[in-house]
Amino acid sequence: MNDEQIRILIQAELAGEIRPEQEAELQQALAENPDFQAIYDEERRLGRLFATDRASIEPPAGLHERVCAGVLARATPRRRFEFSRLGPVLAIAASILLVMGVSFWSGRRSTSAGADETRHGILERRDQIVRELPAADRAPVEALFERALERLAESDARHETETGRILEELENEINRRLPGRSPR
Amino acid sequence: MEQETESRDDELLVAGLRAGSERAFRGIVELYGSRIYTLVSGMISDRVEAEDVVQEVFFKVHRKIHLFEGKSAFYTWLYRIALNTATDHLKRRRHRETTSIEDLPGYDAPARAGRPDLGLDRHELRVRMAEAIAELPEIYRDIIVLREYEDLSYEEIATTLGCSKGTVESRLFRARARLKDKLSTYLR
Repeated sequence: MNDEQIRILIQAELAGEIRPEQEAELQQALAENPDFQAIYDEERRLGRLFATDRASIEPPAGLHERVCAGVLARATPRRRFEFSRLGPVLAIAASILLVMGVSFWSGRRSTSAGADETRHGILERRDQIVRELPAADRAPVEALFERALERLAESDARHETETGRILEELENEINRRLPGRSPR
Repeated sequence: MEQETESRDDELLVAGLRAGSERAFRGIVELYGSRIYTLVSGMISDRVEAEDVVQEVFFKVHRKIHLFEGKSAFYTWLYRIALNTATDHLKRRRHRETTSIEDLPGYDAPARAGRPDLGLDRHELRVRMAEAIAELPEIYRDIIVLREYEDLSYEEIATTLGCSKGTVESRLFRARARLKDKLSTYLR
């Protein structure tokens, strides 16, 4: 029996996974070769090390509540955009956008391209702020950004100038909620 | 019997979550949140980081529950998400990290490690174990955390990772061999 075979048997025994015929084989090998006993002891010490470490892991108090709050805050706004339910509306919107696209074809920068840049900027801003916050405080701030993005999506179709006002409101709200932050 | 009950609970909760029930989602987090935290902590010693990863795991569960086909047990699907999310986190961390374990505050060389007379700090052990496991190749890392931190049987590990029981045994052997080298000072 080589090193790998004996260790696999020992590990199976320590894990409670050994079959009766393997157990007999292991006991015989341990009795016949004193070196195997040292291997057995080493494997047991490693097992104890894992057990000690595992026992020291305590899920923090309030973990479940924070996880639920964080996930639901992130997930809820997205559910409003269930495209399958908006099929007919999207079809009409697509037709309107097609007509608008043709009229903007003369090389002018389109509204949606500008809005995409704005969205990208908001997402970057969100990531920048959220990275600095403790996990427990992130959900409400993320929800704030989600709301701003939703409003932007609506305003995109109405009027581009409203974007500036929404961004200003968002920035003011961030500064109000996170005092001590320097304005962007 | 206990497994059967758990499986029925899972089915009900999964069906509820698919139907958009917030209560079902909370039930899943109640049932598995601590286990996923322990699993993730096997590779990540920092508590805040571990909690972030747990949150990301359950966010993926919430978002992707429609992709769970129910062909395997829910926990195997959940554990795979947890292992992948933790692995992605480690990759990102490695990418941005320049400090090594030796740069950690309070690290004063392996000479002290494993010396009970000098006091083996629980936190220090946590850091060393998680670092050693995080440095393993992914196939060995997954096996070790499922076995040693989640206490899954060989059969459950094989199902979760989609491999044979024999593969579990041989990978576990190799994973432990590598860890023994990294943690030799604690094993004297």
